Amino acid sequence: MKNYQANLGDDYGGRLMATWHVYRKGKLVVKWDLDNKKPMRGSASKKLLDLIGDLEHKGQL
Amino acid sequence: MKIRTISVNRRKAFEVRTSKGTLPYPFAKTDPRPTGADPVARVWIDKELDSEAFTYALGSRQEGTVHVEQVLEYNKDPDYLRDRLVYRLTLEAQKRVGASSLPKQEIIRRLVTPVLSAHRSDELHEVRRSTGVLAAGARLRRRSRCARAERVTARLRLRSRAPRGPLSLVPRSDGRAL
Repeated sequence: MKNYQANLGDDYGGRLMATWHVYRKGKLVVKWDLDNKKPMRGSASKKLLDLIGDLEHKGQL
Repeated sequence: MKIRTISVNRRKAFEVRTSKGTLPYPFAKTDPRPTGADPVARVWIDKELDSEAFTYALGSRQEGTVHVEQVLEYNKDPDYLRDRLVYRLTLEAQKRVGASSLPKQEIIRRLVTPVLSAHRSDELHEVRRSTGVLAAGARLRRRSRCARAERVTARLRLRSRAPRGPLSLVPRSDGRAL
């Protein structure tokens, strides 16, 4: 599993938007909205949600 | 969106070719940043990231990855900005519907929104085309507003009006009243 975190520039409202892309075997599994803690594209399984929760808890996300 | 080809141009930028055309992405936005002393040694489309990103290696063996969304965001792609705007509006709508004490049917009735459309707004993945077209149009209108104003001014041959000062009360030289 490979992931990629992107902090994207200002939006219409001048806000920053942080997303986290999770890929498995070269395919996008989920594009995760770090601010609102919701999937923007794809869906997160229970296992993946736990993993995201762990990383957030450790302050790595 | 997948990257088709990636190259380095002579303007200190990557050139990313996608289905939307060739988009530049400057070195200045990347981390680690390529410099004259530490140039890009190799750049490739990252297959592990579903060809949605490219990875580059510097002479010092440092590596960096850039996602296509960063490229689209830098180039202010209207479709990409529309999707982000619609996503944020959807979140806001969900938040307000959740905070409201009104039943959903009543909100739908007051908004005069088709029931199917309102229910679809619950799904974050749903992007309404009409809103998207509006958002993209607003973006384009904002950009072209200055140019359009100049065109209209030129067409109507409008001139800036000279500021009017107070009326002179000094009698005219021929002695007639003002």
